[in-house]
Amino acid sequence: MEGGTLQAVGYATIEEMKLDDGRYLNDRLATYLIPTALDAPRIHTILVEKPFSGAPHGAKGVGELPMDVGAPAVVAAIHDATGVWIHDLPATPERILAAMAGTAAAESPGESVPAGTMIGQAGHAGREPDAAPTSGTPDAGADAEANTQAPEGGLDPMPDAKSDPEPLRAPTDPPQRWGKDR
Amino acid sequence: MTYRFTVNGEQVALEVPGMRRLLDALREDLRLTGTKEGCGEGECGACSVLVDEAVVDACLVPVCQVEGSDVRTVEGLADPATGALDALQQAFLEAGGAQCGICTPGMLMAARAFLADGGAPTDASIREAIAGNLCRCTGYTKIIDAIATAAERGQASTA
Repeated sequence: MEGGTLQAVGYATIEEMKLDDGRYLNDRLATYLIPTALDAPRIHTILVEKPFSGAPHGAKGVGELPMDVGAPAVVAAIHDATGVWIHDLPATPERILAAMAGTAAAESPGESVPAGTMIGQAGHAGREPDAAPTSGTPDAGADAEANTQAPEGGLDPMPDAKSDPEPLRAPTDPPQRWGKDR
Repeated sequence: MTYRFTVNGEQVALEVPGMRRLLDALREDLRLTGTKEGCGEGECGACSVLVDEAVVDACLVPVCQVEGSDVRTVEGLADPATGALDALQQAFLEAGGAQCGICTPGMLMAARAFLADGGAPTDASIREAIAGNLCRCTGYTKIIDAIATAAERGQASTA
């Protein structure tokens, strides 16, 4: 679990598979960096033993779950510290600074899978800071207001669309190389 | 050409090309498979061994460079007569510092060099000592605890 948690922190902060025309640019440990002992935080583990009634012997999965919480925790911590939400992992210093400045991060060579392609996120128009949401939220203003008045000590469940300066990809979206229908 | 050096105290003579990797000489010619190959390019530290008490990546060292040297591998840690574990191995065992085991031999050798240097059992100095050894399973916490335990025991026994 500690190793999985560290993998998740690496995924959130430094690990990124870079692609160029379908080929990995960092296909070895010299270029695909993972956390070393100097990068790793000390991890304190608290085991909560609560058997699951629906499985033999109360069994629960444990291998996958550490990978799930690390990135949200890191991104929430960055929001807590800086006020900006990071939408593209890893949350590199370049991306955090760009988000704080409200500009697009310069892309290093190669390209990642464009953000949002897997979760049906809105396209470029929907990610402009002032654009109206494309669907699902008829009253964006009210939503944004509700978010700014989140309870004391609570984290915003969703970033505030108006104050979030995160057009990370919109202005300088890398060229699409694998077809125009994406 | 024949290269002569010692491995874990025993004299060996290998008739191999001089540029043969020490890693291959150990694993294939000498059948000491405790030393693992991870990346094969000096990034992961899995093949760490000691050459004249210095930690090196065996994948980057040609055999011709260890001529006349003293090479120590993970096989040399436990007592050869009794099989009793080295203090570091015992501490790793107790702390749960080994999971899949690929990084473990290299971690042990890096830690052995750290302790031989009289390294202080502090979190920061141990992290520095094993910074060249990657581990994906443990998150390092238990490895660091194990090395600290072994270091403290070493200090206690020599005090």
